[in-house]
Amino acid sequence: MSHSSPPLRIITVGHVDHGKSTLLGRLLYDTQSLSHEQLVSLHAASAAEGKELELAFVLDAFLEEQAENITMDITQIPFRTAERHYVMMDAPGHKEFLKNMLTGASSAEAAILLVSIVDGLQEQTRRHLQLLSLLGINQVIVVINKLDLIDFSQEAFEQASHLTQQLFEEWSLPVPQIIPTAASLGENIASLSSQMPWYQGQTVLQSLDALTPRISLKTAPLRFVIQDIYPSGKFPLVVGHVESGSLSLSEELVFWPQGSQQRRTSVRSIEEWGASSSPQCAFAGESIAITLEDSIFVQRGDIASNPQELPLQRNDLSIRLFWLEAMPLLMDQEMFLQLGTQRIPGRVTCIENRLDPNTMTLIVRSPRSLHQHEVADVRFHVCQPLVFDYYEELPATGRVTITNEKGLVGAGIIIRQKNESRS
Amino acid sequence: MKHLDLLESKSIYLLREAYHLLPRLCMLWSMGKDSNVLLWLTKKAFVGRIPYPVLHIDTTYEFPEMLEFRTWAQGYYGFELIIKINEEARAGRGAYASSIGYETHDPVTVTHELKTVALQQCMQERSFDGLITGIRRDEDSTRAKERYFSPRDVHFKWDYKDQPPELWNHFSIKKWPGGHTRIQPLLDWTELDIWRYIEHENIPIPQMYFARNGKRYRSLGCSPITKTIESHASTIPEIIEELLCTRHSERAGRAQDHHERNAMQKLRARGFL
Repeated sequence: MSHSSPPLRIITVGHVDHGKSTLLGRLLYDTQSLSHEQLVSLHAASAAEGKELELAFVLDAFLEEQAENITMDITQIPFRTAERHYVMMDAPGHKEFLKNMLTGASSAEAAILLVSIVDGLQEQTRRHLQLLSLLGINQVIVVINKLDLIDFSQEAFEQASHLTQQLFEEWSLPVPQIIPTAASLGENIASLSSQMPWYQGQTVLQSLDALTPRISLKTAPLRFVIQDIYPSGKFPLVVGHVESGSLSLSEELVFWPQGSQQRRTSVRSIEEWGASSSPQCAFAGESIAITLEDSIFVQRGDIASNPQELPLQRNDLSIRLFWLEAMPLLMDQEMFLQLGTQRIPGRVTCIENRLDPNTMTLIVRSPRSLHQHEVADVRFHVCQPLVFDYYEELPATGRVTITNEKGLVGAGIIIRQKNESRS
Repeated sequence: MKHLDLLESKSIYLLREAYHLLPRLCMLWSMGKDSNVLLWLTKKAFVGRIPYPVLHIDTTYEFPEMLEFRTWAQGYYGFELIIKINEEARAGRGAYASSIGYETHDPVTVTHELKTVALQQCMQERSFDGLITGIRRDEDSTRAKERYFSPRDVHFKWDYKDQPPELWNHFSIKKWPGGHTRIQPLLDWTELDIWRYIEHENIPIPQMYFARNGKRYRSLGCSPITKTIESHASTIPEIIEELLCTRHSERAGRAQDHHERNAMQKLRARGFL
């Protein structure tokens, strides 16, 4: 189809008012990425709020956001450099909007973490970093912002930079690149600053272009998540999404849960409407429709693998869980665990190791509840076996969400317990 | 995976989830380029079928060429077409003291009454609980903040201050009396993506997008408030070339968007797409 690669998805994170929206606004402005009409409404909105030129308003489109100078929800903006395409996502820095930050971050491949040199590392700086680590986003560019407010002091930058590095080391994250900026003035954003001759590293724009896209999952084990079965004459269509790996014509598939002999058959055809010739294989990332050689029982929620690389299935799991909902998580409450298209009732049977996001230290061992925005390792029991992989082995089938009558209330990754083997 | 393949796959996934999760689903169709891409993706998602009704909100200010395309496309694709007009508003009957139209009212009022309210009437009459739309994030700064599955209450209110989290292709459906869920499979697509996909797949679209006598329509809406742009792009590759160079935004020619500061936010908070 098109020869271009998918855009790299980047999220800006960090504490409230450290300059996330301004940085993105400045990046778009300095690279001439804004249309004539966007510039006109940017000037009009700035004037209406009594400001000279408020670059954050490019992203903060709601009147409430502009009046209060905050970001409420994620904005996603396409952006291109000579090097490649991006989708820039601007996350809110307020604690009450963490679920919005998480929504954006769940699809990001890399992040820009902003730290104001005036305030230093704050609560949301740490929380956001914790969530990035939970989501497996390990490419992080750190921007120490607002250097203009401290006369572009090299000494202050080096101190802040040192503290940030320490934080990354404490959490066993790779040491990031750290850039001193003044986003509102455009210093070190798209071009090197004349105010900071002591900094000769990359600009924010250059460091974005130096990021590496995630590697393809084509060669990983096959995990074909079944969405639905559509009637179609003698051979019903099994439709779904290839999360990882690949499948091809006549290849044997094993359907899970069970994965027993009765749940094995081969691919009869791969169907594509409008295709001049029917496809011979399908790869990770594709939404496909196939027919099967034998009429075996398949339903939504099933996962197909190949016979060599099998997923796990269990009733009891260890999950590193982030709780989103205002009502705390209590043990033994009924809720649903979702992975792929599986949705299975179950409950938390034990909460272990609740962490303080501020210090990343243990607050309570074995607490009875988990409060909003807290992270803990929990044991979860589902009433039917869940088909999964450990997140560290196959992230696409190692992450879960939790829902109850309030909607989506928790998100987490499946971790290996000590002494837990694959068998 | 290539960029367009990935976009197509994601949209197909969303359409199939919508079809599974929402028993009374319909799809909006304005006959514009994005709408026709949606129809095409539907055919792909359901391997040749269009399993839900297709809804055109007719403001009675449609371009004649668009109406011709509507008739042609219905025959070509073979879907159930619902055409909805807010008759009371046009005639000045019932709740309306006088006739609503561009001749007498501002574009924001007309858009609300003839599009949003007409849509509300239809959703209620047919008890739809899901509405597939073709909006994209790059069209407008408030659309840039949308979710793939977006809940609306009985008054169509968009609660943009408290949108549900969406992670890893997991969507929760809010069930409330008279409310519905909007499914927005084209959010990630840009205007350029749409054109490249139309070119690649050879998707039928109205001819008004192509330049005639130095002018063409970049975005299509109601005839009295939709302006042409200066252009000599008479083929899709020429349109793509033009878009790569332009400094103007796609909806610059749509009067209702620019009527006042944050006109789109106000329209959208009340249920407009």
